[in-house]
Amino acid sequence: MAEDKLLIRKFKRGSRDALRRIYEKYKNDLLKLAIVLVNDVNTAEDVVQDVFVSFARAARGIGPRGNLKRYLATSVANRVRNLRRDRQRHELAAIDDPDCAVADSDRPEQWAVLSEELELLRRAMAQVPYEQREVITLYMQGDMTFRQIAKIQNASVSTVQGRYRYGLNKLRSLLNSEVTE
Amino acid sequence: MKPVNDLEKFFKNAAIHTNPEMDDAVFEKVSTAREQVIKAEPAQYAPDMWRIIMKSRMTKLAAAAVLMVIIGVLVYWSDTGMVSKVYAMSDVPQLLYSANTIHMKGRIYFPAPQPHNQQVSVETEYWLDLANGQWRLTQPGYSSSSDGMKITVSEHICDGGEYEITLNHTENRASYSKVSKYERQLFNRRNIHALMELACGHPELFDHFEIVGEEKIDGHAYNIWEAFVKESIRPGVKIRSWLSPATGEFAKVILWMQQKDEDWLKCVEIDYIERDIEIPDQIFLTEVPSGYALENTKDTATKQELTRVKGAVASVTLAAHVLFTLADGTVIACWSSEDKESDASQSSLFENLVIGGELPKLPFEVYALKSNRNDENVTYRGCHLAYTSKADKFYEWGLYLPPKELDPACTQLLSYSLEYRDNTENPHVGGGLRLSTGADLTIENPEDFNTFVRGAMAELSDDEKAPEHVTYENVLRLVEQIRGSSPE
Repeated sequence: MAEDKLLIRKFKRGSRDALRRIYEKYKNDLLKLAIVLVNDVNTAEDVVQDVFVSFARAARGIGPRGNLKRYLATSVANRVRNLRRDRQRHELAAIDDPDCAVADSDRPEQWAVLSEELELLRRAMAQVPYEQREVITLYMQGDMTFRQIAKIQNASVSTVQGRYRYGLNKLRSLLNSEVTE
Repeated sequence: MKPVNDLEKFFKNAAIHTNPEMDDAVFEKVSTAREQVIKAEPAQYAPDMWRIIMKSRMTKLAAAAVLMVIIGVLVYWSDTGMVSKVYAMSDVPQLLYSANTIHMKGRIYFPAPQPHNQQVSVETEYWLDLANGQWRLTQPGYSSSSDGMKITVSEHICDGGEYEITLNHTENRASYSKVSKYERQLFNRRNIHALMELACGHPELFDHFEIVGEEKIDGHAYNIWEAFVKESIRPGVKIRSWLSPATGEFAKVILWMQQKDEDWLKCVEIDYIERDIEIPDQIFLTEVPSGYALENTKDTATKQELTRVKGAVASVTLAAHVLFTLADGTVIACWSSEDKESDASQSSLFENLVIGGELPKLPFEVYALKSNRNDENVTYRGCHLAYTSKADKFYEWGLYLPPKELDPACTQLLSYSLEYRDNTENPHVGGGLRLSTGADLTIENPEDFNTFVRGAMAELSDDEKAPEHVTYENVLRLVEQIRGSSPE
């Protein structure tokens, strides 16, 4: 997007305003993406904050071309993957417990405030296998193509498309069972 | 809750909000991280020469005003083969938006009519009361034809109201015209934009701004700074500024141009710059001096059509009204073309046009713009974006895309030539028109788009409304679609 390219140029020249604009423009999308991926509002907030901090430090490495939203969404996805790997390594599972974020609304310094629909989505997505969840989220929220997601997942495009299809079926069934209760 | 059928829609609509205090707190952390990097790598972010110059308020004003003079003069020196309105000169007061008053004097030098002839110079003077929107500009004009060189000296005076009087001192004529609120906004912003380009955009405008000497003027020491306007923008243009290192004020600014391989010829010399002075009231009087023929009155004054450049071949006219550059180099250009001998309405030519599709087959059709960017000739191919009509006249708003994305244009000095197709029944033979003009502004956000692009559309529309589909986002999306590729 032309505006993004201009923002990147200004940001690379040291513009705080450009950084603020990028932050304002994408923080909600990234928070939503992270919440659906990690199913934990606290962790999602940390992930997004870390992504923005890394982005702020990495001006030199960011090219003027390319899709900024996709870049940031990929950063979130990679960070969540690393987090999951670390947690699995340290056997600190619980990340996919659909009820683990319930208490988040009472946190004193809550950054993200979820709508009823997003809360529903978060709970349902927690029950979708991670690889499928990642495909759905990056495709729908990260504006990525299946080919791009395939690169991230180190899988074939057809595998990714299959994950998307299976994931959607499961998600639809979960959401509809929940909304009709 | 209803069953979820459209998951994509459900996903997109699942809203999230953020706590504003936390927004600020998180951004502070992000910004701090950025500041640390900047401190660690100062060279990458060091302010350039122009930023240093521009830190002084006075310097900003003077430099901006001088830039306007320069731009105006460059128009005289450009051999486009036609006379066009010199917007930049009359825009000076709007540029200096943050000062109260300013007074500048100097001389403008015109090209010699024949080789080895003496150059001709004319005094120029600007009185600007910015706080009250008043101005008085002495503005020499120049045209050259087979009959020789003709210089006219005009003054434009506005007392802050909706009228401007133009005094033609060469022919002792006077006339009033109306200036709309939109025009004031556009002129103002255009000149602020020029200032910002000068202040922040020097990589595209200048090469090598450096101190080449020192001089004492009236007991004060000044550094002499010199720079060359980039070859790709305007070859053979050199500027020198006498800048006080102590106060940041200019004593003098001179601009030269090189004619082919000949010596450098002086174009502009501004040697008197004063600000925040008390300007006598009579300076801004819009009364007609005795001995001047009044061509109209305030009651009969009309508003001039927004026009950057206009020309005609026989009975067919072609005009570019406003041009806006988007951040990727794409240009939105409003143009019109009429056959003065035809009474037929042009409305049918605008029926069934497709957004992003072919342009209307007006008598002259601007199918492309051409410009020189970074030593490269660039052709901007046109397609239809929208049209407006006012007083039975139709205006095409074309979208002109360069073959690849470009840095935002340096709008004031970069000139676009209008490439047109002759659609008349009996195409005209001969050289045709050579029209070229710069863009008014570079549009970088939706707010500016609404104010200036949509504002111009409203200005050139009977119902004073812009077409609904022409929004910043829609245009950017259209540009991406036309390019047909989203960079990875």
